[in-house]
Amino acid sequence: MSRGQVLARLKGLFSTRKERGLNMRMKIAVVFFFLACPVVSVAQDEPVRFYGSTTTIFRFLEVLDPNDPSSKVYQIPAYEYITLGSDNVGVQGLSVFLRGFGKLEVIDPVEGAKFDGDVLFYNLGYRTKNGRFRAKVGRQFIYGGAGNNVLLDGVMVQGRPWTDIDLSAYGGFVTWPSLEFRSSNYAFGARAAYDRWDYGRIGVSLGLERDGGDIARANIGLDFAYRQFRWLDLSGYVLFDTLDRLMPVQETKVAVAYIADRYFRFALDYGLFNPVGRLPKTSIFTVFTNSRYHAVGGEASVRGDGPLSVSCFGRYFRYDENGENGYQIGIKPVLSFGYRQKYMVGLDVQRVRGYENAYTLVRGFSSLRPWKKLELTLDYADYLYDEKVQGYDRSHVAGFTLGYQVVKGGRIQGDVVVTVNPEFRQQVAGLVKFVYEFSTLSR
Amino acid sequence: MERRLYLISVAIVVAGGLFFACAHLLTRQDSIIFSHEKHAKEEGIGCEECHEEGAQKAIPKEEKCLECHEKAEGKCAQCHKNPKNPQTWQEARLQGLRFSHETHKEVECQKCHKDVLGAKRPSDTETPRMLEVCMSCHRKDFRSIDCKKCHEDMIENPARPTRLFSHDVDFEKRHGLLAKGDERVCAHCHREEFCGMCHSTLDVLPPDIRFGEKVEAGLIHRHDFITRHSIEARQDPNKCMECHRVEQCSSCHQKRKAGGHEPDFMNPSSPNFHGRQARADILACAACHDAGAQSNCVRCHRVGGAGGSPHPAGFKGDKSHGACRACHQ
Repeated sequence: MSRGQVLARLKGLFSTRKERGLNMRMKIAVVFFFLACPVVSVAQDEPVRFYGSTTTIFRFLEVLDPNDPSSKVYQIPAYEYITLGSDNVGVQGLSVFLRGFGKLEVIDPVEGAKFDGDVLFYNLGYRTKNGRFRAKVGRQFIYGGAGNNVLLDGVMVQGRPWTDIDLSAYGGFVTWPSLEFRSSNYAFGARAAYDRWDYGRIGVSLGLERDGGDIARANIGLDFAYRQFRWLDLSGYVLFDTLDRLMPVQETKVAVAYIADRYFRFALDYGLFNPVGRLPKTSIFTVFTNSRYHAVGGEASVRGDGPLSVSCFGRYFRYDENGENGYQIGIKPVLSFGYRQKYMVGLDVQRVRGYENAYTLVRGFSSLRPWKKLELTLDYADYLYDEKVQGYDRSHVAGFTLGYQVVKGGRIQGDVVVTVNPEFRQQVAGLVKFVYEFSTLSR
Repeated sequence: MERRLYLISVAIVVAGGLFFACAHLLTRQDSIIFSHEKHAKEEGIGCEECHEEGAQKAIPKEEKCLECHEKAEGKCAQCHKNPKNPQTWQEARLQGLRFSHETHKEVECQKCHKDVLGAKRPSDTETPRMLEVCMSCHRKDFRSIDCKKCHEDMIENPARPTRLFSHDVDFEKRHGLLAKGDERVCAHCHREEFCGMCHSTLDVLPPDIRFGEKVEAGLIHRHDFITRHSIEARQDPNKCMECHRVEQCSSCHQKRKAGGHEPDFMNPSSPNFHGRQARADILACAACHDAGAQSNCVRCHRVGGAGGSPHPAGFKGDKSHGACRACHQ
């Protein structure tokens, strides 16, 4: 094969999302690789753990045809989620993980029968015996540091060369559905932190994303935490936008929690957000005035030795651009009886005010386990809107769930949910779910 | 029909909850009446006389009690709270912990079981405050995150350090903040799958449908979220963007032709005027229109266009900004 042909093939492989994705053979190869890994395990100090789960969901929906609002149609989408993983596979500290789903719509008079699916995670990880260094290759979440969460097809390495110093770096392609990717849409970053994690930490991180030859995001972030063992927990982050010459604060959030004892805890938080900052800089909409907003909130929870526990929260929003306000406030008392909360009854009352509309939620819920293997839940929620939404000032949902543990790790569940909402999109939905989870150790 | 459905639903929830609460209260559970204060402090009985030295399962059997107490009819209530339904004392489970009383036998009992001599009920001494007690000796292991010294397998048998990382009722709202920088700590108990249950942007089934049985959990998209999503998205848009890309809004809005403009959208004196709306919530515009120059404001707001030049007077740009290329190739 000539150099030109090789380059052409490589170019094809890393072509943009619009041009092509990974072909079927590559998808099968990725899946086969992760399934085959556990087979090659060899003897080692730590036992090999195999784990996984399968979840099959059949939904039964009675919906309205958008093209004919007077008629009812039925849909039966089926979902299959599969997770497979193994720790200490082959080599001690090596782990593999694969999770994906498939969706099949057999009966859909509106859009016709179709199949959909994706690989949600696939990665290969390695951790040293003392746990100080680790690396991961594949599709994974990057959520450390002040930057935003990012789902990447890439590589992450992390290490603690000294007990209190934490260093990490990542790089990879931003994830798109169906194992497709844009070769020009990639992100990378790094973080260094002084981390005495039981007392607190301070970390500096850098994150950068490129899209189509332009820098879409570039941030420097500071994350910090301070803990007084058992009773005080302060944590927060500040994210600076380095693409602006003045390096303004793109967003920040600080929360402090006071944990008096096992009966009472109280938390306060403050956040400054700029939604435009979350748009890629390649978007024309980033040139608009920043519509920043502030959020100040508090949460408290009380629980005693008795059956009652109560939590409540309140949050106030202030929008810089138009001086408008918003708030949310709620209280949630829960009564639990019996060994390991065998019976539980709760009430959830909330009031949410945006700067256009508001609603009040009144919700009752109950979880009952009359026998060890049987679980029933009841749930009712009522939403009352201040201003009518599409002509309706109210929507409500009632749900009933019945679950039974058939074998250890295996559970069958049936749900019925009745929804009456202004969109009138869905009235009655049923669901049958089969879950099977396993986890075994072998030497 | 709607009112009837409402009444039936409320009745089911209330009646179900009351029925099982009453059923529980009527069948009162048994528990053991035992005072460490009376036995150990007042009577001076040593710990090892009841708890065999080095025993992993340190709860004495009934035979041990019967060495001193007589098992006779009518005296059951001396030890059993519900003598009609007497039950065996539940063993405290040290699931997944590498702990042995044998290796700790040099340590005084009261160092871990602090208030045991003053305890009037067994539940007062049931479990030592593990983190606090263990940390008095094992802090170095804790600092270096060497959890395996004490925990066999935290993922399969989480010891739930709920105080330090208080997984309390509002934890769902704060967990993202705590995870920033502490993801290694989360990973000791949670696999990536656990985060992906809710956070995977590629998934098609919302968490509240997949976990309908978790009625007590504060899932963000719970119940008929589609109706009220515009209220919450405008109240706290950053919360949406923690998981969703702007493209996800447009995929639905364009398909369903939802969220269209008001009739007076072009009237500058109207509160619905698009300029005012755009300044208040530019993300709402971007949700549908951020698909190149022809789909957005620049169609009209350009030199020679109905909206005129989008640049303010005296604007000087070097066209190096990524956004400039939306119009200036």
